Amino acid sequence: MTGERYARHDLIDWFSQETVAGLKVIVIGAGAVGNEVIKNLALLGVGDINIFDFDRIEQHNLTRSVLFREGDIGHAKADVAAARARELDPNITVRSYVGDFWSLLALRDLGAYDLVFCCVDNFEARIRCNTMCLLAKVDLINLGIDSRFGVVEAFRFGASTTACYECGLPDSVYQRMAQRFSCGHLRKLSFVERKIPTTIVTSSVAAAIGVSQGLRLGSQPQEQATRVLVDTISGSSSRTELVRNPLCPACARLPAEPTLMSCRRRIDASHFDGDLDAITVTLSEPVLTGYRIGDTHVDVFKRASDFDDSYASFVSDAPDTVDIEIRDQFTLGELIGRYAGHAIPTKFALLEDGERNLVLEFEGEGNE
Amino acid sequence: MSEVKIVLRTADQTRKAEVALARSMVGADVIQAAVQNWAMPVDTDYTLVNTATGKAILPTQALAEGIVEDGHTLEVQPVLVAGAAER
Repeated sequence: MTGERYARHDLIDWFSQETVAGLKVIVIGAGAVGNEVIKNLALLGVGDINIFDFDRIEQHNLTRSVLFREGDIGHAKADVAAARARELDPNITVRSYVGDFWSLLALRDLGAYDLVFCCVDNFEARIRCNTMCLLAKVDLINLGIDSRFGVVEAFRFGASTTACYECGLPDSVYQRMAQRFSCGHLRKLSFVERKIPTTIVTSSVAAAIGVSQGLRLGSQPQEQATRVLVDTISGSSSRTELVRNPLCPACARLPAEPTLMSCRRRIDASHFDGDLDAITVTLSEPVLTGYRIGDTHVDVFKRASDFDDSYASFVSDAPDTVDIEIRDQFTLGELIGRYAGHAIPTKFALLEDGERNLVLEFEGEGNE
Repeated sequence: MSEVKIVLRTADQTRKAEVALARSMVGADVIQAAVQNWAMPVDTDYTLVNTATGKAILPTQALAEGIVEDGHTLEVQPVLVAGAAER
């Protein structure tokens, strides 16, 4: 039965069903592009598909989501997409993870996968996806759309040192992301997200090219990072070699050969000795360490993104007198001296002492 | 001042111009000039590509010899961020 299912694939001389069946892939985002990517992966017989999405299906999703039906409204996108993919090919394994991939997917586990398809809808998630794949050295296919264009970017982190997603991002992207936050990295309550119009046409074109590029990564390990831009109205496309940026905030900052280690979140002074102030600790996200009102200081030590810009009003009737401290960099000595007993709320920390680079990934959920 | 004569266009090719640019200009300057002169949407982000070499030009990269030559075509492409359903 299985052989007959893939009989047409077997006629293609460059296509190895055995190789495809042996692939373990991750799809982050089961929206418009994610649906099309998952559909293609399932129909091709990719053996192990893992879908991450925190969102639930709404009616307006149905015009661009081949795997969703009217009756699925209100259900988790990842669960429904996985169930439909299993219907498309019962021979494959499809798992769903309902939640934020940044929390659910461990760097130490990511290395076991061949490829990640990033099908999310915002820059923050794309940057996080890039960071994780860069550290874990796993190939990344980044897909994006609007109402006319589809884009597919291939980053071969598993095979070579190439440009990454952040290398070519213009400053305007970071300015746009900053608009969602107050000056202290607290979310703005009043910010309204821009809605980008898209159709199934750009989704399906981008996903088809993305899956095709992705499944060929293994056979072309030395290729540079590339971007394919398709104009679905004119039918034209271009292929661009992406250039490595020596000032990139991701690949130029993160260690090229990181040592990944798991670590408990709780800061315990008894685990360390030596010159701790010579070791710089950079957390993966800004932390609201605490606030001061007059002479009184209160420790908080939680992720800054978990709070909004009403926080000062929440802790005091006189918000103008509240001095909030938000940081992402410490010395190890300072961290242990000031915050022993607290749980580190971020995904990971980069430890540097001038010679060695260590990436500590914290176990369990943040803000425990 | 050293200049390079290029063709600048948008990805949909609805806007196109032959221009002489200072070699000291960087990718971000070219994009800014295109967005302002052609009244391109300011709620979109853009990157620059040299279609003659097939290579991207970084926002901080100057239009130096070896990167851009006379007669090359530079294309302003949108940075696409949507992928899931808009919310």
